[in-house]
Amino acid sequence: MKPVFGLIDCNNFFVSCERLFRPDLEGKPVVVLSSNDGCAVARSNEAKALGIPMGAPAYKYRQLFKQQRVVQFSANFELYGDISSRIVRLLTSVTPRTEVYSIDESFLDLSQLEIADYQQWGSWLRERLAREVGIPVAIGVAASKILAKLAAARAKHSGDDNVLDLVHISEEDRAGHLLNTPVHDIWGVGWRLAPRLRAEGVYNALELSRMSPQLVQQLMGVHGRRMVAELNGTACHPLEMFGKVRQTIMHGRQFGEDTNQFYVIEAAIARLAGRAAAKLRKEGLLARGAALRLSTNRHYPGYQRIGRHFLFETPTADAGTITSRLISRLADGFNPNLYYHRADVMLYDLASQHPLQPDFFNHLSLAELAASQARLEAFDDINGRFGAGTIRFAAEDLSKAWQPKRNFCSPHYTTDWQELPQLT
Amino acid sequence: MDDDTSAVAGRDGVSVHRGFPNSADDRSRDRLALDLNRLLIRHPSSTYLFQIGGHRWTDHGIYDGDIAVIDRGAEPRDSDLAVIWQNDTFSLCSRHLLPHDEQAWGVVVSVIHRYR
Repeated sequence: MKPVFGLIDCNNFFVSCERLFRPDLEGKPVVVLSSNDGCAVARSNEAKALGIPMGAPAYKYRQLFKQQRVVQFSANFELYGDISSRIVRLLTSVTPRTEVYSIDESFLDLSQLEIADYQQWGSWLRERLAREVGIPVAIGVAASKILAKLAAARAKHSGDDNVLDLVHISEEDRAGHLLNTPVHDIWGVGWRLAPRLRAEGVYNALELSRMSPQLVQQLMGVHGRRMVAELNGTACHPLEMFGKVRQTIMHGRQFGEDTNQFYVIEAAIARLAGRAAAKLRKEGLLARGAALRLSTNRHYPGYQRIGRHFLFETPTADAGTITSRLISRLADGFNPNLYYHRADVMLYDLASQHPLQPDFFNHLSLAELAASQARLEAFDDINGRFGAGTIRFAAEDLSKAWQPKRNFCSPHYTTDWQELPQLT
Repeated sequence: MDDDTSAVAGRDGVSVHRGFPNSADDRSRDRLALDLNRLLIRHPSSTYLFQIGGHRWTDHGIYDGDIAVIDRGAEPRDSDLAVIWQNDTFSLCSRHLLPHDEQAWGVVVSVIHRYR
């Protein structure tokens, strides 16, 4: 199967989140400030057009902000995280083969989906995200991740559609997109590599894709060779589902005696599904699909196997749901004339319950993350039982003075009951 | 100690129990088996909660302080109450009164009123 990747890239994500609850800011210059309101970490297109660069120190631009009526927000990470998880949830329902690359970018493995027209598919997905979650995105589709990323960046400037398919495209058009991508905009070319490439006369992605392998090796080693291969449509970087989550969980057992009794089989399935679901929860996973197999004794004549499988509308780790769906699927068409020997339950299309956002948390190790997750769960549990605030961090009682400055923070619309948006 | 009523010994030495395993894990032990989230929220990605402010909708049984469950993804119907952005606030509006070219922000799928 030929690899095909889609990159879903949220346009000026933090700004889009703010605009969702402030539709009046559509078309106006908006910046989101971080680090004690010190510098701009997101800018609307209108703010970019005013020449406000990424990371612009706020104090330097105060005058411009005032003159041009630039609307400022302090970063509201509670809101952005919540909106991001909504997007990931929707993407995971399209395909569980989703890699959450950062808070505002996800790769999808499209090779196993039956998509005739990527352009049309991209428009469909884009429209869904805009209408349902309320966030505009650009979508790039290509044979490798580096190309998909390049395609998404180009898609942002491709007029109204914001979708670019580099798979079904003429060689000439593809070359045109590479030609118009300066080397420093290529994923994997950092600020150190770019000048070295330019010194060799390589200014854009097309020139990089045509560099001689010897020179690439000499200049950038294996990393560079892979990059060039990816630019030429050979996938070297696979989809990384974070933490290498397992793909299936399977539990099976033989019956004490071969049986045609539905209730015995039902009981076995309940037990197997219960155990599989417990394992799911333990690993923090949700299953999108479940399958059941019943077989007669293979050593006897007339060996038969029956299979049932289905997909859940929303991924689940609930033993009750999984069991009842399996049993009702088995009930129709159950053949009581066969004596069954063995049952197997498989859960597949597993997705993480809490997709991690590596960029967001990259200062934490995985072990730390897991530990904090466990701690938070215990925390939730106790506070859930005895009332919020029963357990809290000691520091909460000390002082609020350590908190970073967030003078322009919008309400936590989606994460705090006290701050819900008002409706008249 | 087991909760089963009839156990069948399997050949692998483990018994098969009749009845559903107890699906209540640690996190759900304080919750009802009937999940209100499931009742009220069909599309979690596209559902947002708002709080009603003011008394404009009292005649419709919607009161100040109620929580409105708004779905952006629900298929719109003429009988819907829609959320629109107007005069710098979100307001409710009968969908059939909206001009055809005007997009609603979302539609009301439930309203939660608490008495105490």
